[in-house]
Amino acid sequence: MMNALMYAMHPTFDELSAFADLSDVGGKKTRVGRHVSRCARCRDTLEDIRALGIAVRASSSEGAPSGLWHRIERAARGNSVSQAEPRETLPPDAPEWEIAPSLRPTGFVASPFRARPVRWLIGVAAAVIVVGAVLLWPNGRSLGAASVSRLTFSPARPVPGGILSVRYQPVSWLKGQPRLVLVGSSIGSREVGYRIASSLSDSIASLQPSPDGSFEARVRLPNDFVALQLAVSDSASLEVDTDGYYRWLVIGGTPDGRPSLVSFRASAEVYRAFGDLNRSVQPRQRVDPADSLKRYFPSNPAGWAYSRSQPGSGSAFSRLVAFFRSSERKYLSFHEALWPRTDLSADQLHDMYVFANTISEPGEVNRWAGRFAKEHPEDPRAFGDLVDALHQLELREPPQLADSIRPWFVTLDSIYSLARLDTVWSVRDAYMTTNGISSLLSRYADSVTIRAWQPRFEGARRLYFWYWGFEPSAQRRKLAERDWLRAASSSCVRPAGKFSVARWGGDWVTTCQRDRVFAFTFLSQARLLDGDARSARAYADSALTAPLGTSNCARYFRVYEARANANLALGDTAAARADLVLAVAIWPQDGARRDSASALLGSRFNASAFDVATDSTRRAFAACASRVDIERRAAERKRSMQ
Amino acid sequence: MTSRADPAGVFRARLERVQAGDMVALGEMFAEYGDEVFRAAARLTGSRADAEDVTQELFVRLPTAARGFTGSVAQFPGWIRRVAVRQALMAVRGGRRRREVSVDRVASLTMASDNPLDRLTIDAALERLSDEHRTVFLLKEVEGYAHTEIAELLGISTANSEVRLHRARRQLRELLRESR
Repeated sequence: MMNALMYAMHPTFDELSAFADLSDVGGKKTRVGRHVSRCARCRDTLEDIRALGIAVRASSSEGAPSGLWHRIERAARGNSVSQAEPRETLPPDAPEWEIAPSLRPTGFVASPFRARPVRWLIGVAAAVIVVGAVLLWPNGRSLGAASVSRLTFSPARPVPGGILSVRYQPVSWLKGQPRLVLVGSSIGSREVGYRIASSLSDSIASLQPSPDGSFEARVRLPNDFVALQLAVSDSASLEVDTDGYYRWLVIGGTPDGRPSLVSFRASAEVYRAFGDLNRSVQPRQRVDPADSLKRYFPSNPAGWAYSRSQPGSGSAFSRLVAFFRSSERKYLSFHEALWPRTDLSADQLHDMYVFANTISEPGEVNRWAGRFAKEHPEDPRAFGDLVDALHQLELREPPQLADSIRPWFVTLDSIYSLARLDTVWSVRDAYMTTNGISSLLSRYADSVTIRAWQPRFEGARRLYFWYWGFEPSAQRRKLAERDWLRAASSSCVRPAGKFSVARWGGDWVTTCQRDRVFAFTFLSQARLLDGDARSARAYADSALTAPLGTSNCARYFRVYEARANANLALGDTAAARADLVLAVAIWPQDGARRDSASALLGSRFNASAFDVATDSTRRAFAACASRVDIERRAAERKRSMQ
Repeated sequence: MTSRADPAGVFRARLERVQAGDMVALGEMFAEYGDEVFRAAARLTGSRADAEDVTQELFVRLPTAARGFTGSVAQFPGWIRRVAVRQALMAVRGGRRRREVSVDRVASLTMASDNPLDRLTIDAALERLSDEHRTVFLLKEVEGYAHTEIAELLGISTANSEVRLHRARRQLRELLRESR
């Protein structure tokens, strides 16, 4: 259902951002390109994205100051006295920024716009690596054996209830640990991508060190095992290793030794969702479930449905063209065989719907989604597929569009009830639904239908406002406040047995603590809008005192501004002034903050006194930051020596 | 012998003089490329003071560094700009601790403001991005690097580079929209 919704909804911001970087020729062929060509709203967003680049390139910035050459000249002649010498010692942490070989001043300089890898060299390197991998892993039965992986496992396709042996060669930051933790997320038979993209994973097994420096574990798989995504964490969940953007993927087999259709389908659906969001990643997967599906189940549409490109030689564009040619022929053969049948399973109907989407045939999308909805209304995926089809119909703007769409609301209502969508929807599904079905309803449904659907989207709306920040409408704000209160009430203690698996964006605890601070800030502003200044100040105080990782020197300037506003409403000008000094001191480079403080304080703003206080506070912040930095480095050194 | 009508010859001769430590030739190079180097450094470091250091360091070292350059005239601007980017990234890395006084993710959540004084320019909005996001955004949009090159340059994955770019754009758009 998730993937269907992705088709139905407007492209995500990330998809539009990725699309903005495509050439016009290549871009128009994509799903996003077609959508954008017909959707004014997305075109606006796309123009915004492109305008950012134009604006920053056009941003007037002054050239080198006039005295700089004299400074350089003196330094170059070696007779500089008053000017700083060029830095000869690299910062202690410079290796992380060690420049790529292509950027070193050597004889050959590749153009930044035309740099291309030397294919034959990559081929040789890949061959050497593959041979090395085979030698290093003698039994060669790992699913990942076709490429080098730090994490390998056997058997290649474990069965439900079976034993999975895992071996892990630690990365530098996980070496020397007494033990590591194998963490993971199960992929269900009808799993969707985002649910397993959670930043928290379950502990699967303890990885014990072996004499050769690797770590090993044996895992008994559950009886309903389908597929698994794995990562490796230290026992304190401070560090994690993943397979690049993805986690390592274990796809199940059947007890009689055959590949499992269910496992491949579930994995393909998950990875298709990710691949859609990030084009460049999917071709680099170590495991391609869609390719395996095609190989092992050639008479099943799933493998073709989930394929995104055609491997082979030639340019990316020619491969894309080849893909559509061959896939369209394949689609027609499947269509011919399956359409006349009356006993199609939900999977087959859904796969044909996905296949039609893959080859960009909106008419066919509509045909299969409609049939799916009528024949299997109990399947939750039917809902998203149908919403997608209706949206694609909407984009084509046929005559009597509204009359074509309205009858389907009855079917959608039926699916919603039969498939128990209120219970199976993930939060993210519900969020996306806000943009999909509700926009269809608002344009084509009558007021009675809209009122009937309204309560179903309440949760989705709250989530929407949580993601996108402050909502000034009182009615909507009340909905959003529930989420803010929930976040503010969180203890931010990592649940037992759960491990943080995000490679970037901070660990789970820190993220949770920041969310708490933001939630308190939102709540403070909300209370102030309600005229409850005392509660506003209490929430602002909470935002300032709530634990927040190691960066405790200062907080987001909005927190101080929120408390300043509350204090002003309470008539405490002195306290408000102190808060505004803090807000300005945190963002000294932003003159607007000081102007804003001046506007808020009005005639009570004493510029010189304010600036003196700001400078003093700024120095205190700097001293604190320096102290925190020293402590952090000392802790890192201590950790690295352990 | 170098002809006055041969730009490549002029450039090669000047480069050889730079390599030999000729300050006049170095001054000519500065006059031609100094502004571009300074602007690239100023954007990436977010600080004119740091950009001055970066530019100074680059040109002071140029006589030595340029000995390895055997490319054409057309390749030199790209080369010197890349070196500037390298130096600027090192400055960003060295100066990161100064930014840690504020919550890292402040730019990811913005609140609406009716106050016209809160309106941001693109430069001010860029200032509010984290170093990671701002750097990738500038390398892509201004310097014209591909994600593979940014990934190599920053020691991150290509996917991470793309994700950072998307997030930077999203945050910038939100910051600018909310401030209007």
